[in-house]
Amino acid sequence: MKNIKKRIACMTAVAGFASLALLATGCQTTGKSSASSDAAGSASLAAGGAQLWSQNCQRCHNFRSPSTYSDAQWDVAVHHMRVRGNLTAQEHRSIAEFLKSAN
Amino acid sequence: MKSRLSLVTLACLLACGGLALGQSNQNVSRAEYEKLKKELEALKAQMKEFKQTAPPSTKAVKEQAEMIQEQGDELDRLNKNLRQAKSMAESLKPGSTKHLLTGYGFVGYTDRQGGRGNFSAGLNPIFLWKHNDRLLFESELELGLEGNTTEVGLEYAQISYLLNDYVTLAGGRFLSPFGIFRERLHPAWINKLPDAPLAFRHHGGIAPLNSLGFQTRGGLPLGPTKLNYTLFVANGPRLNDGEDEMDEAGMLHFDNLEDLDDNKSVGGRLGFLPIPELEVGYSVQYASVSGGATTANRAEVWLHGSYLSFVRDCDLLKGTFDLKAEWVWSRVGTVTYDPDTTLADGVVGGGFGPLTFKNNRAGGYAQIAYRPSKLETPFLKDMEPVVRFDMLDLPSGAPMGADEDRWTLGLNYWLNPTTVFKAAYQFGERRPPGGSKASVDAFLIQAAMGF
Repeated sequence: MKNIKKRIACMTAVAGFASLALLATGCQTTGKSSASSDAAGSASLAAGGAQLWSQNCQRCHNFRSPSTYSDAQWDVAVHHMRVRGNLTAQEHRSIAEFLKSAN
Repeated sequence: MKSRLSLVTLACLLACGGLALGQSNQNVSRAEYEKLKKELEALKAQMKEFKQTAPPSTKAVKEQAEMIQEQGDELDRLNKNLRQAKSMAESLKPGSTKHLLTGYGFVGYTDRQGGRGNFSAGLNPIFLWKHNDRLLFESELELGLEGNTTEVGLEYAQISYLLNDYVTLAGGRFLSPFGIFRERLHPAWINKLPDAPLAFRHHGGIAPLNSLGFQTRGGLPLGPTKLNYTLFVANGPRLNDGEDEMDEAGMLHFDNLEDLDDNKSVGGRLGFLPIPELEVGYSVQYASVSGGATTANRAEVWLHGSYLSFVRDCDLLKGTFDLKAEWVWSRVGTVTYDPDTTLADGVVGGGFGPLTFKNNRAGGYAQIAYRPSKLETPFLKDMEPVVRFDMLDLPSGAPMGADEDRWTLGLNYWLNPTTVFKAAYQFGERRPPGGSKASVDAFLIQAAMGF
């Protein structure tokens, strides 16, 4: 392939350099509550769910406001996202609980 | 004399006063007196009775209030347990489904050098039915405009079952889990540019878009890190032998509704998240396809892909960075297309063959977007510049073997989290083998809305 290896190397270098640069600049994520997500109660689930929501959903798309859907609709939407985004079971439960408590 | 006069005057005055007093006094009759007396006795008796009924003490009142409070709390607990039990019973009951209608729509305009400017529009409704906590049906239709007709397609229709915390089983038609663009990033309100990267486009791309088969998938926590996986088996792709479309000889078509040669395609994807913001992964797919009108009975197909996704909020730079990169390699076994030179209306010597070439293809993209969401300025914080480089390398011996690469500069404005206006300019170059390169610059705009 014409210059293919060179192009692959270039693209890989660009992507890798950008990642390292962003990591190295010490960018801090916005302060989000990092309460225990040990599922001891729905309040704990919801608190941990806020952080998981911000970490996982943002990887693909903007955040929909929790008030977008009702509790029953969030159950469906988050289940769909668990399948599509390969969320873990704990992430699924925590994020759903957070969205239903915040809507 | 004077003293006698004074005494008489005083007596008269006293007499008058007495008369006045006497006239103001009403005589009370005996009956009235008795009545008043009785009323007085009754009042006395009531007062006596009231005094005998001692008011509760402060302590007693407190105890009674506490008892009422406890009973109220117990009642609340019972009500809560009853609601939970009812909800659990509802979720297990057949027919107690929850559903959601969602999806997206878009309108756009593309003006590419060497072609005509065209408007486009599309609607993709998504239907979700959740039967219970484990069983989900999901489906997406694609309604678009192709030429002068309205095309209706089925993007996916699958039933999934959460076997346990780590394994989800799913079957049906699904978005290909090869790479991440198709499965996670292609919807118009999520894709940060108006078009798809070359390797992932509907026509002329090299990555699979949809599959019809079965998959198992899930996410696994590994301490502070995470792993996700997908394994699938599906109807295999079809190798275009050039019989119908000479220009497409050697291309793979993945959109098979029936398995043409009784040989399934297998593949998988593995993703690793060392930190929540970063995911790196690898995909692979293998199939053995029928050679069709070629010299080979079968040809082996190997697809490989790698990807990187990095999204991070940055307080220092007051916004969110979004970096995505993917690369796809396609290897198809070497065959001779149109060996008898007949694939042109059956006229001997009128075909395009015999044609043999090393059928290796590769392509990918790297994209970075930045949204200054933490700025105070209302308009600026909703703007999002995007830059993407994408390319496609095709076999030089293939009929449509023009390599292409593009730089796309875009600017998005987010009206709300799921509604975006996009404008982009593409600097593109196409290089056919043995021919001169041609500019394929384009201007694209699109409005997309997720609902």
